[in-house]
Amino acid sequence: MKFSHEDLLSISEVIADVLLEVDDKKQQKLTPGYYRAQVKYALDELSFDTFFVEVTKDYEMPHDLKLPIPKGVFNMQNMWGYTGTPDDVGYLENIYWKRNFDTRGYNTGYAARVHEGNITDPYVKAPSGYIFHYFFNVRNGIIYLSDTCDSMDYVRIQFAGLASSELDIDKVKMVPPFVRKAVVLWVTEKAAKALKATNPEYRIIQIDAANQLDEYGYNGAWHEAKTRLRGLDKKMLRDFMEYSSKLTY
Amino acid sequence: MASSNATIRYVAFDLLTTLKQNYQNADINIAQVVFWMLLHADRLRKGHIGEVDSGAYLASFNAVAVLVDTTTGRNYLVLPASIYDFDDDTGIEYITYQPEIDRDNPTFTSVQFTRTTIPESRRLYMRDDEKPSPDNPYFYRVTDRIYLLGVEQLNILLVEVGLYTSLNPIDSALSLDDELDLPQELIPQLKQEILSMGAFVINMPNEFQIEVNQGKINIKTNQQ
Repeated sequence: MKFSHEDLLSISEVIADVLLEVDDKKQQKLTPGYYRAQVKYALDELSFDTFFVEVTKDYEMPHDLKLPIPKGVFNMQNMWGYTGTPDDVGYLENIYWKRNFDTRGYNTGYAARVHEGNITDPYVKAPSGYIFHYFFNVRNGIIYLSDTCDSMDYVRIQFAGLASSELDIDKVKMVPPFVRKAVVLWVTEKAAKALKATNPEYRIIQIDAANQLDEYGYNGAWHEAKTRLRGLDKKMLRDFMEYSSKLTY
Repeated sequence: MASSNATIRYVAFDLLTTLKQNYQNADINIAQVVFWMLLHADRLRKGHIGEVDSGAYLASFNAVAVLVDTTTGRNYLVLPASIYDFDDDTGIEYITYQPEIDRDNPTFTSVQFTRTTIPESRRLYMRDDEKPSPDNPYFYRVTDRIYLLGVEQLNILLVEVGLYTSLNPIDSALSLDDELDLPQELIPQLKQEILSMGAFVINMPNEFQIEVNQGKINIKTNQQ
């Protein structure tokens, strides 16, 4: 579901609930930073599973055609090369992933199992007229673009973002309201788990929270949160069905 | 009810009168009774504060000077009064400073220092969220000094502290007309303890002497 970042809740709202649940109102049993870190941990876990944080970045085409994946993002979703500027996109091409594409950068050639120059290989042969124009591969956190991309001015890439890095610039308001219950239970469970080392009575609180959270099952707040985050808006769902039925997309 | 409203003089003379009624020849003066009284009252008070979650005995010091250790450069403050040595330094209820002047909020709602110890503080630096910083400062206690972590880059001059202070039986500024800072319901227990101790102290030499004279206790010395 899409939501406004104006509605994001502050970390303190979650922690205020958790402090009551684990009877640490003075924050003397665990540090304030510990609770904050657990909230971010929960949101990052949700973002790994649901990709609910969307990040778009524009880069000027690098001269060596090598682009490090920026911090705080993962799971590339789209990549385009285009002429013009980010505010005035001109000619645009999809840039596709080419498996096994291996290059050292601009104008150094490349190797690949399917290579347009390889016409004698009896097993892996490029089909006649087979040409990849715009493609890339990723190795060790660096995006390598094909030489043809040099004709473009910019690359626009869409990623999934890490909630703790991307949601809020001052790291204060970052909890989507419809996952509050799951995050409270997550932090409660983690805090009780830490506290039970010194006081075994916390095991009861931990188990209660874990049961209600049901992180790896389908009957708890965690699954509910993931379902909500993954769900399509009604408008999108309706439009998608319409497109599919008419096949005019 | 926070305290008894009874003065030290009132309780002390009550105790002295009771002791004198039972032991007319005992050589006990008021200073001795006050000393015993404050010692026992302090112990009872510590137990009460430890058991009851109340602000009745919380002493707030609004402007405690922050100093810099000339040898190590570390920021510290000196405890402005003696405090109870509770587990996890909970005799220090809070330490706070006001990072920005905001007249809408009292100082203690701004940044509070979290308690740590020297060995425990190492773990705090392993994670950004827990790392000592001006937004997330810590304190640790070494004897009567409270060292501050995370505010090294700030020029903090004053902090506010809330302490559970103890009674000081040898305080030269103590007046008999000061209020006995003890819950009223504990005064009977205080009286009972002092009378028991007084009786023991008064009786002990007498009975001891009688038993020695009767040969029940055979004291051997190096001369024998």
